[in-house]
Amino acid sequence: MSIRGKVAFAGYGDIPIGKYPDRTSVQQAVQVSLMALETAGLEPEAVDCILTTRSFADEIYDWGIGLFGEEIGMRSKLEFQMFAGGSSSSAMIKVATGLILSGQAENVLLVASNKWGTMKREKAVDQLAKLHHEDWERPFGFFQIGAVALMMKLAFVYGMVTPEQSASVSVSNRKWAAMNPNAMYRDPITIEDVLNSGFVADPIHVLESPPLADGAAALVMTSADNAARLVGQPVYLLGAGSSFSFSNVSQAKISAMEGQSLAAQDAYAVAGVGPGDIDVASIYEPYPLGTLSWLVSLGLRKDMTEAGQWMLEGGGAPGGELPVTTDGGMLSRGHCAISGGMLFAVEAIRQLRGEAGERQVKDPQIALATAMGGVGNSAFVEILGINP
Amino acid sequence: MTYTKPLPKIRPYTKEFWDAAGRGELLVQHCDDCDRNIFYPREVCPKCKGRNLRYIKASGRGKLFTFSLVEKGAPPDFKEDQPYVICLVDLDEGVRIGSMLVGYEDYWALKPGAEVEVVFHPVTAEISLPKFKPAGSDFTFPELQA
Repeated sequence: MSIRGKVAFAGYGDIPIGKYPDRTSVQQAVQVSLMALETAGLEPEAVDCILTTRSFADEIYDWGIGLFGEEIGMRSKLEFQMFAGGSSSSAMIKVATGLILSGQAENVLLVASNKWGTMKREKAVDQLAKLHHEDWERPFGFFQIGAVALMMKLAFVYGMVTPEQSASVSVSNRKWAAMNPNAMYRDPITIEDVLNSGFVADPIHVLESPPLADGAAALVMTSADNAARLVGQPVYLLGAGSSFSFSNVSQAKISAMEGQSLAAQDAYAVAGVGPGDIDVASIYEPYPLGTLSWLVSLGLRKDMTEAGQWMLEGGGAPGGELPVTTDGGMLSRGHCAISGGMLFAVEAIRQLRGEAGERQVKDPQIALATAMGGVGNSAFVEILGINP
Repeated sequence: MTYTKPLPKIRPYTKEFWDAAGRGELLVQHCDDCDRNIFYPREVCPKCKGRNLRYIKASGRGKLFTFSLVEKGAPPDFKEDQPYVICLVDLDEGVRIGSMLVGYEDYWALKPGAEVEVVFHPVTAEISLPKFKPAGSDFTFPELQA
């Protein structure tokens, strides 16, 4: 059975991303959920399934079973947490799809809320270090950006990309973020700014690594028929694909990019569309080389060198050939952990509904959203469209 | 001075590894069911799911697969070590190991494929961490003070 066009996103919710010490995980989650219900035209009582995920910040949110439903005042048949790192929200979309198509849920609320912005940076970095094997990686000073840097270093060593090409992704994302009122950083930056910002871990400069942020996002998913009754323009899920390839970087039998390719092929096959059909690419970077490898694995560019040169020449920037990461992405909109992953789907939906304001792409029909977990070990692609 | 950084846990199936490391020997696992070498150590062979695993002595030599100089992003426990170099090494036994590179002269002159060899860093009475240095380097870590 194909899932193509059978479920839809009826609503979405988000809030300003950045450092907001006065917002708790619960408050953020409530706020974006109410917006998602409103944009879906759905009464809260109609939600029969709530999918949440970890906040990493508030114990009450992470440990209280059914806590979110209690706080917002919604009883459901089913409420539980899901976790697959930065790709948690994409895994939630897959589960919601299955629950809806199997008749086990009608209206599913997906919500993520995180507080990396106001958490002490050391605590967030230390949390991320737990992604790495406690016997074989952490004792050797491994951490998330470092492990990613180990893989990305090779692209520079073997001359596949230049520092300027890499930096241009940060510049492009910042141009989009300038038009996103919810983005954390909106002031223009130059390639020189990026290359002079120092290395977090070679070859990733400070301005090529995402700022940690507070944020939240929510989606309402339901059957295609329901969605058509609820809203003027449902956004249909045309295809979804995923791949898990490794957890620790030393154990990668296939590269992160090969994993992305598997997810992309999967999603395109289900959707029955190809790279040439994509009008908006909402790409979960979260580092410039992530954008480049996605452009290749999604079939949008031939290889890393061409992808790098294309971004350097503004191919993915406002006014370019194909709009890439139009909300500014993790790099400029801000990395609000799991909710940051969900925001790529939110942005694709917003663009397809024609509600993206100043950064609205003209009449998009089909958009894609991607997500990554851990150090690039899990890869997800969703293809969305305005026709089922 | 007490060592305060994260330490590997010694498990029933890794005690032999850490005991050998304390003697200055690097071990890798070997699966007798499918005749492959394995790293990091498992309870079950990740390839054939066999359970007949034993340790063999490795040469301690290999080639740099990749490496990264950590300047600003280290986790709190490793802040004081910045800048330091993390690396992946392809051991002569055909397995890949994550570690730290030490004893190098010019980071920017390093190339993937460079010959490296293990150098053990004794950090507690039970744990000596296998780190790597350019082949032929005379770099050593100080012995633990009793």
